[in-house]
Amino acid sequence: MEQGNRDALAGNGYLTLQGLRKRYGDREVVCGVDLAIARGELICLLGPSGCGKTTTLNLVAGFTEPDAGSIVVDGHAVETLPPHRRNMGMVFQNYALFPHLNAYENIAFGLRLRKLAAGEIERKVRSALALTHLEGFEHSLPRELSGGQQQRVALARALVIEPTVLLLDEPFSNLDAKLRRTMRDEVREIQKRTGITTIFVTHDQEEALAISDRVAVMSGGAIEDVGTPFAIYHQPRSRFVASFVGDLNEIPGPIYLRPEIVRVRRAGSEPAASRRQLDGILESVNFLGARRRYTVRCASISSAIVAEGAGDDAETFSVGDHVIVEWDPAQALTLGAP
Amino acid sequence: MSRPWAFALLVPALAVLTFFLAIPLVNLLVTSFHAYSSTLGVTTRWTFENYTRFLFDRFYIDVLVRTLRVGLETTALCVVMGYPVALFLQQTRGAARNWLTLLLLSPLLVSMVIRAYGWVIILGRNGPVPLYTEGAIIIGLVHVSLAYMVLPILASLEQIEPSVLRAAASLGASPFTTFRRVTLPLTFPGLLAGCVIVFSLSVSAFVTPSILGGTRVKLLSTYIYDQVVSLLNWPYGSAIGFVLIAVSTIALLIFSRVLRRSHTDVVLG
Repeated sequence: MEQGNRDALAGNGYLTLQGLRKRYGDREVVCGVDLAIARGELICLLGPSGCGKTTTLNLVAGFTEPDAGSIVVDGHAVETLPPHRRNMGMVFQNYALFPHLNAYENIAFGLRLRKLAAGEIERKVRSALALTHLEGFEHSLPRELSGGQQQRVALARALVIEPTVLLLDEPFSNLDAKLRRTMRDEVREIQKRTGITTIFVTHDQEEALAISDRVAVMSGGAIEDVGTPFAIYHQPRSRFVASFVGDLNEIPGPIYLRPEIVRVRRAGSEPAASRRQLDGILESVNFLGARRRYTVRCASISSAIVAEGAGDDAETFSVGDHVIVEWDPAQALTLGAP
Repeated sequence: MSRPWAFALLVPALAVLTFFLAIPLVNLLVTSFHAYSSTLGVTTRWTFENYTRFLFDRFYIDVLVRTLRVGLETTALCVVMGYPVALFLQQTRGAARNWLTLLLLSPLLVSMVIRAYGWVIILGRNGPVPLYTEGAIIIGLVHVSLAYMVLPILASLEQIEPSVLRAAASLGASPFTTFRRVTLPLTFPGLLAGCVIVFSLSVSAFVTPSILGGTRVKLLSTYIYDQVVSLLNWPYGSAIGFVLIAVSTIALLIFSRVLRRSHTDVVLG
């Protein structure tokens, strides 16, 4: 089985956060974040709102001063530098483009501050426009661009300065579902191509699993678990992580089951060997296209069990049917695995 | 809302402006083209002589130039003093902000005459800015006008997304560069609005200049008053009034052009 590196500080971090703390009034928003990020790695900070992920990102960017802890980039401590001295690219949820500048000038902004030669600026902006598929929109003002285009400009603007680290703060939250998936694939591809070390903040578990090299799940201002998307999904460290990164059935024991390993079978049919099972009554069926999702109320346990089957299953069930849910105990989640 | 209804709601404002501003103005404009006789008053004879008299009189041209200079200097001082106030107010929150805004508006709560006599007492005849000088008039006008500069700038500042300023910082802009390249261009509309209001109020002010300028430094509005009230020469008073309106409109157009150009320069760095 694929194994993630489960130690937050293991290895030679290109970007290392150590013991980061931030308190607002009497509420500690970030309480001891440790994280080492390898060069060229894309890591997601995933968690519910208020878990401290955005504050952590702002600490790295320099918009917020930490109460304690260090931020080291490529061997240099940056936690005392103001944001404009950190050379980090940032992409914001609301795009944050300069409304008075067209797409070209938005992208050129950071280059002009670096006093590059005119030809050099032109060359770099052109290549950033090409990288983000924005050719032809150079002269458009932000308000004339769609949300997706605006976020591409924001990405180009952040990348063109060749920052040490790219920081993305819920960059796709304002886009519709389909565009969100397209944009995340694009960002992933650009990130791989440019090899830039990236921190991506999101509350969307599907997005985090799809895009990351590693996912750091945050809760209550600290990192609860960190690992590859596969490891986080299949061997979560805690019940919180297990339920946050995917749907979870909890059966007394306790046994934790993802819906996709639970099958529904008609009562009375032949049981499969070595599988655990429970009797219940089908409460609802949702057709999701490729899959069907069943909710089964089991008398022996207090909660409902969610199971999945193929969307084109020949066997169909109706609400109210007596059914059996079954699973292979070897596939149950084991929490706190190494 | 349907359009007839929307229009109906405009009727009261339109009626006030028509009957108490537009019609009297047209009336004055017509009057300014009539001849005046010291025995007959306003005659029915049509003439341009009120305008030619003004434009070919060196004395009146000097007064016009002085009036515009006072207006420009007042506006410039209000920009320099008002912008930091707007920035400060924008960063203040809660009750403190309400109190500070009230403080800013407090000069407007006092009668113009009382306010001007307050300055008469403060400035005196032998102080650094003595009474009956342009400086005294400008101090009095800045005192009245500052709020009209601060509030439009503040409104523009409020429209700037904080993340836009953060984006500038992340791209390497120091706080000063962020101000020059992002904040200032984005508050340009508010700045222009403030300048238009303050300049218009200053060149047409009457009470403050007549008290603080006395008989020694007179601005155009004082001469209009003299013509209309003391000499009863309505045609000439009206003509001076329209010259003032025309010249200050042209001055504002040139000013906004210049500001717009410097704004474009900032944009293109």
